[in-house]
Amino acid sequence: MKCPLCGYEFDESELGCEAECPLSTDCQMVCCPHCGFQGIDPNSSAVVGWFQRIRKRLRREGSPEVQNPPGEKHAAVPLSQFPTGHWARVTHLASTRGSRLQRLSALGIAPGSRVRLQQHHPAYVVQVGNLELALDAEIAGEIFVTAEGGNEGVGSRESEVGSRE
Amino acid sequence: MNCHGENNTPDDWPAGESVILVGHPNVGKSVIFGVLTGHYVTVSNYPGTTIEVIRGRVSVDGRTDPIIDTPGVNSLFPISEDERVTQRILLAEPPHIVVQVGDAKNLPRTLMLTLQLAEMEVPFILDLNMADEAQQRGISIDTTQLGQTLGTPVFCTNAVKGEGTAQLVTALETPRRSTLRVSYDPEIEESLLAIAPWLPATHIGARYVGSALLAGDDEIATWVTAARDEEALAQIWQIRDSLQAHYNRPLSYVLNEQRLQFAYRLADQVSRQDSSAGSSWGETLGRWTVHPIGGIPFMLLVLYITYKFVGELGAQTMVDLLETRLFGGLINPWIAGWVHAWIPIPIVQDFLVGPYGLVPMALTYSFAIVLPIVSTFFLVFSFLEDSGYLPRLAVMVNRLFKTMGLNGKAVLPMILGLGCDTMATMTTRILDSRKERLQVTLLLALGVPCSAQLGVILGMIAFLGPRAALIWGGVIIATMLGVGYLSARVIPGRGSDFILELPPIRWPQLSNILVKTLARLEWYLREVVPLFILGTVILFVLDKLTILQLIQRLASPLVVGFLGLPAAATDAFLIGFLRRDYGAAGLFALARAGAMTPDQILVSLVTITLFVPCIANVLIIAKEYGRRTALAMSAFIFPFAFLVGGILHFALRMFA
Repeated sequence: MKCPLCGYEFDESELGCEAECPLSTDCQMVCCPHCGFQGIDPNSSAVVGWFQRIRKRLRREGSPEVQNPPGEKHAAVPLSQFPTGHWARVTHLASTRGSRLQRLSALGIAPGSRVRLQQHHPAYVVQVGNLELALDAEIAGEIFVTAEGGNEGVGSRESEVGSRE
Repeated sequence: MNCHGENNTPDDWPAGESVILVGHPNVGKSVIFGVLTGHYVTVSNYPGTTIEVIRGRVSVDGRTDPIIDTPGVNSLFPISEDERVTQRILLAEPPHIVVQVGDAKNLPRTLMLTLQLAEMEVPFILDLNMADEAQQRGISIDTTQLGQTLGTPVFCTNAVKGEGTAQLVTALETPRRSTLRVSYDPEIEESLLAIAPWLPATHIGARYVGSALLAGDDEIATWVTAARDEEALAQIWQIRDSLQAHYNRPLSYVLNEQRLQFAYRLADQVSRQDSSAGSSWGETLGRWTVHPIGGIPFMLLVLYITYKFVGELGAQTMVDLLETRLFGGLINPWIAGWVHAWIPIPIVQDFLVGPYGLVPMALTYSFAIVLPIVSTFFLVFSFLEDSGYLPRLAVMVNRLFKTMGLNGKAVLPMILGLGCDTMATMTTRILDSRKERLQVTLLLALGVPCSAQLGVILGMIAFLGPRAALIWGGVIIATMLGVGYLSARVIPGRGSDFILELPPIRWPQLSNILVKTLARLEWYLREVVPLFILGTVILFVLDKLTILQLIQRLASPLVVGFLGLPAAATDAFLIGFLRRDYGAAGLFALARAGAMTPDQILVSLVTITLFVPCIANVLIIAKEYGRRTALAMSAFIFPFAFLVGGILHFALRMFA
């Protein structure tokens, strides 16, 4: 962390807290070992952490394009981590449960199918062809996809809804 | 609505003559069935409406052939019980012809099933239904080319509007088998060849039977053992095991995957999607109804409109008109005068027009109180059903149900329970695990009021205002959550996967809404009015034998002391054992007469809501899960309902 007063960078092990300070353990204050300035460590706040998680999630859902340069082979990610509103190609299903694999493939989700994640909450909604499916997070995490080159079929309206989420 | 369909078996039909409708869930099989037979069957915009096999007759080639509507399937290698039913029907007898009803806008998925029918070697025609929706999305399908590739006739229809169905009827006369076969990996093809000599000779194609065995279909295995012997099966299992060693995924999935990829290639050849077609209002609205934030006000709006329509128009305006003016002012005095003038026997007079008489109680309750309320509710409910909103509602409440160990799929029967609990209890078959089936059945019986009951309850809440509505809703939901949470821990087993198909939002057809509402009203009059009459007769007899007064005195510590209600409410609870809407109607009458304070109405309402819905529901639970389960559930629910009512009574008194 960085002292807001003198700009000295330090980590937790060098905190300049007085040993006799009644708050010295388990408090959210940090003391700069260089100038002695006392401040609040924002990372220790549960509320801040909560807001940051939400912000991160919103960003992920609305992020415009995480596409790699064309032609480059890129790693598959779980559908649950793929940005909403973009078509993706299924590479493999990571589930080991026969009945789940059978049901997903019967509904059209198997390696090679084009899918588009529409939302994360309150359930994952995935478009497969012209069919909409609602899935649990657990199942969405087992469908691995890669970004598809081009963006055909993605109208401007969908991206709009996606970014509002 | 058909609440008590008989358990049909495929055996009672002449072999080789029937027409069988097969297809994915929610593609319009029931509509096609209606078109072909000229009879109406319940049609909805959600998957799994047809849970029973429905039969009718269709005229083909100058004869009338039996026609069978089957529950929707995703695959002919069944996973769930309803898929099993469809497979059994196809295996049981050589059909005259199979009509596959498919969704034109989801061609690859439709073709997956087509490919299985082709391998079954049954004669079939492919009907691509909902062609209008495909057209809206810019999809064009070359049916001639697809027909040539398959070797069977292919049609596009829009059955709801009756477009293209005439051709379909003509095509029933010339059944043809498809020549198309999926090309699997060489290893799988070899195994299929190796299995073939061990199979019994039947009307079902060896490729289908072979691949079903490779996929590990137990039912087919039993069937092979019965037709051949254990030895044949042992050989087959050996071939399967050595094939399985090639793959690191279950064979059932490998086969599906290769069939799906074949279907995708075929669909690419015969169809084109013009991606410039913008999204329709239905798609946009559909997206908002499940939006994490936008979906909630939408849900509240739906609730509010329902409440306005049912609670105010139905329960106040119409009940006023019917009960006070028509029955109270005209019919009842007129009949009373007539009976007193012409029937001089006091006991008969009492039976007809006395305080527990047929006319002032059974008929007035059913026609003047419950009928106007349920009519308005049935209208709203039919509209919601056809619009495709209900599965989306399941998505919205998914999180809530998860806390009680139920997934969103279990929500569907719960929402259907708002229509009819008895039917919804049968729909629990769509759930994959027994644990969930039992849990949902219990929650349905405990807390989900059926349409008639919800109507009467909404009507009573309309008397009390928003505070009471919130308390009522809060207590019922909290009770359901609590019981659901505990039952998830008490009932052993694991929950099933949540994979739910969301049908597109559609503007419902007025004619279908009216037909459905009428069908429901007929069901209501046929099933409920006799029970109301029975309840009245029981009360009359108990009253004449002065047992009723005894019961009232015995129940007084419970009803008057514990719940804080007037003694007259005992009657309502007594008849509530038969049907909770009848009990609620009794409370409604008491409330309208001004015999209860608002808090008393609220307590009685919560108690009666938690009662078992009706006798029919108990009988269905007994049929589906055995008598002991039904008894145990009843033994839990009734005392529990009084307990919650009592707690609410004390809570209200404390905070008053």
